[in-house]
Amino acid sequence: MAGWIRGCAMTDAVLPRSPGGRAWARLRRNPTAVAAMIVLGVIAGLCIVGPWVIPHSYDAVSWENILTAPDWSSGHWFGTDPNGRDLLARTLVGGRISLMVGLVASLVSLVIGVSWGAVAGYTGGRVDGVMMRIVDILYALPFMFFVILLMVYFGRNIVLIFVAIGAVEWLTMARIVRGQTLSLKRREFIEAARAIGVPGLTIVRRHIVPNVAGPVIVFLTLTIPEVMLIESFISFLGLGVQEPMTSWGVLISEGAQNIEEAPWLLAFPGTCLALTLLCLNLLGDALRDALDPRDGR
Amino acid sequence: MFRYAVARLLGAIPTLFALVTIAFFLVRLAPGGPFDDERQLPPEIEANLQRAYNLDAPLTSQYLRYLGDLARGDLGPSFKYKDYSVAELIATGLPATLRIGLSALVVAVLAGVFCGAVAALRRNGWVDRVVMTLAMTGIAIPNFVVAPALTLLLGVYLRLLPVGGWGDGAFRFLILPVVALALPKIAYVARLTRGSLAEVLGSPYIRTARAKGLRGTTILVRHAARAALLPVVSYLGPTAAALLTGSVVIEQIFGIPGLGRYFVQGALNRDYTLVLGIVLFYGTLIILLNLLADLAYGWLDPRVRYD
Amino acid sequence: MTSMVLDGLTVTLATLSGPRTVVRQVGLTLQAGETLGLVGESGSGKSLLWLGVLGLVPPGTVVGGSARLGDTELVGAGERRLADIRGRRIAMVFQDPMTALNPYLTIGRQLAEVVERHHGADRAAARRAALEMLDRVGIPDAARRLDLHPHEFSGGMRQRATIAMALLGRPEILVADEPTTALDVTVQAQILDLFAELKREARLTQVLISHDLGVVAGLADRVAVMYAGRIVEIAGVDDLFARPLHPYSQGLLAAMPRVDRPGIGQDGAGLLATIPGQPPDPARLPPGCAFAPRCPLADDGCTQAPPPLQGRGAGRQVACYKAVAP
Repeated sequence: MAGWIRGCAMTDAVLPRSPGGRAWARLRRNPTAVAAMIVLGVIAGLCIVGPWVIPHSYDAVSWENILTAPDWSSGHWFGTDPNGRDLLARTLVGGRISLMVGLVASLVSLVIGVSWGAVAGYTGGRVDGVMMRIVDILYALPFMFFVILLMVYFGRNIVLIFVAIGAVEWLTMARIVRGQTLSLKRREFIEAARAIGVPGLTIVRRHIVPNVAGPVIVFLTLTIPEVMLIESFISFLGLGVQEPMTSWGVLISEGAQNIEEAPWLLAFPGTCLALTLLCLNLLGDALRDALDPRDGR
Repeated sequence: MFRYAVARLLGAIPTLFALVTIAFFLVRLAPGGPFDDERQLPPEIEANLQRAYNLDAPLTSQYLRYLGDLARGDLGPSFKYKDYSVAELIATGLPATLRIGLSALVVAVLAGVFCGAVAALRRNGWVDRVVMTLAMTGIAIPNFVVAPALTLLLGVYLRLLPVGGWGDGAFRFLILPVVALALPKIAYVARLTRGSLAEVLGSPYIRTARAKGLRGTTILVRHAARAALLPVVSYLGPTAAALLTGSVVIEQIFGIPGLGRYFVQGALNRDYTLVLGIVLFYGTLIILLNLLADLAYGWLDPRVRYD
Repeated sequence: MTSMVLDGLTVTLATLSGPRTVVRQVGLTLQAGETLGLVGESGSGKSLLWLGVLGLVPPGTVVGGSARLGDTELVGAGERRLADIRGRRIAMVFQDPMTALNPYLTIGRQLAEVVERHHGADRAAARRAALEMLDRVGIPDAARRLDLHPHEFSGGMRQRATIAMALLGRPEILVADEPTTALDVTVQAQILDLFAELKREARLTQVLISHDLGVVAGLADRVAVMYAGRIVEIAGVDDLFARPLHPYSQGLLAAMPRVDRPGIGQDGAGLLATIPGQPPDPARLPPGCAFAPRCPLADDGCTQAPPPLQGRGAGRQVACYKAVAP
């Protein structure tokens, strides 16, 4: 038995050669990271599939059932809200929205940030200077407030939310990508590629992108929770997604208002949000360690 | 040091300009922009807006006029509270917000540094692991989840503290909001301090200090503290900004008569001038705080000064 | 008069792959006023020996054996007692003055605090003492330099400042760990001159740790050679250089490039002599003499147990079963 286990142990000779493969292997060996990924997978899976499977719908108002406590038999496993709607269904649907906003807004910030940073880094010179100066100036502004301002002046629609929040987070991404591009630019293999006539775009695609992918992925994993937090924040204030759509932020807001009579209204969505954010943060940290083992304590 | 300070000051000016300019163009786009019919501006306010922003005059002169108004502290009248100007409303709400915000900052830094230091000094021991795990969770849980939960526990079940409200501003009304606001920051500062102090304690010059026969406390306070706290100081700016932002929701939850509450009310009521004015105010405050934090950093790190 | 006696000193580090004994059973007697040179390759344990004596080792390290300074036992003494001894009775100078000094404090502060701590002086008196000492070690314009930070000093001046810092405690013993390794060659010479001066005038007991035999040759009275955590030979400096008895010492001396000797190799090809092989991994030491795998004289008798240090004439000890004069 012991021999079998020893035989299965990963030795360095068996590890994959590519940096991505090695990082993945390291990640798999980190118990916290694995746990976080599993939990995230479960939450995401439930949110996506759940609403089609469970008996109650998220917007079915039922005046006989207001504010009932969680109850196995009635099928309202999470209880009901002040309108008699099933909390479990609402939590899952809210999860869909929150996760979707998190993902899409992060991708928006990714696209803007990577483009800005790569152009600045690759072009260099005055253009780089000006572009990064703009980043520095914008960095100091309180973007949360601008997002709220946008919501107030332009109304609450979901696309605007994606764009507004995404536009908030791109700055740090731009800085990271620009830094990576700068250091890559100076490496000989880029010179060599240029010398043999590889077109610029191909260089970017084949050489630069895979090498900046690491820090970008780490940052993306850490941006998603921040974005979700912003969305929850503005939803909590009543400026986010509109009825009957819901998100965890909206649910938490309702929960906070009814906390004395119905603490479960806060507890379930709150725990889901906190758990998701925690797992994303842990995963981001673990990814950072996996991609650069010299880093960390 | 002087040159460093001046450089930082000059750097803040374009940021202020960016703030004001973006805000201006945002406003310029909105009223008279793509609006639905429901949002009817009261006629006298509309006339004021037209006059204040000179919507028929050339753009540059509008912009300059706007700047001029700002410089005089004229943020315009409030839509909703017809008898008050935005500036007056800000002045009313400011004291409560400042009390909460500053208290939270102090609490976050003191508690965070203390916890982080203790964890670093008992590195890899159980204290370290417990503190760091708590910190990790604290960072993840949003303050608007913690606040109602804390309220439930301490206010309702245990009846130790008032559930909300401000009363006369007495201390007991401060405790819950400040703690709820500061908690995620305590966690972050603790993590930051722990990492930084652990690293500093491993550096060669600390070994030299020990080799000189200096006592533990002396080494900690005179040799390690400054280097270890530098990352915390450089994070003070963003911390203050985050606390100001977070206070908006905390004031909402606890019913505290501060800027945040006016802000949210204004947002929900489409009180454009009020919302804009408060955003400008928060923005300027944040830029100022960042500047102060930068200066503090420069004062602490001699290597930066002489660059 | 004996200043310090080490007996059976052992230092075991706690590493991720288990405990590693890096200093094994070192025995040494330091005479008052002498300068002892301690030579060996990186990893021979020459630094960790003294860090272990002073308790300046990473957490989890175990120090065994005995280190007596006068009638004070250092091994196992509590942190408070050790703090009283460090700087005051034994002072240490480290290799790289840039990292050894605190970048955030002025030189004056770092020097003065030694005086305040160990001689109970007040701020003003301590500052005066620091000023005098900076002067003494040859730093020009000392009064102005007191208020500067380490990064505003040149490399050589920084090392002088760390030496001044060590001397301010008025220690009985000064341990200098590779004091010249991080410096330019010209500056090295200046620092060595400073040590020579200190030896002449202050009659300080010094331990000079170096991997560079040249540094040691000019300053030491006696030299101890370390290999794989043990002392393999101790002799008077002239004796050692003239007649090294341990094969490792012989190898070291033969490897020194010399102007008056042609290199080895076929037809006197002018190559430098080296000792074949690598120093052993402390986790996987051979059962007998640690040098045996690389030793030209080794035979089966050498692989049973590590050879003990044995006297071989006046003031001389060798740890080798096969030692003969070259």
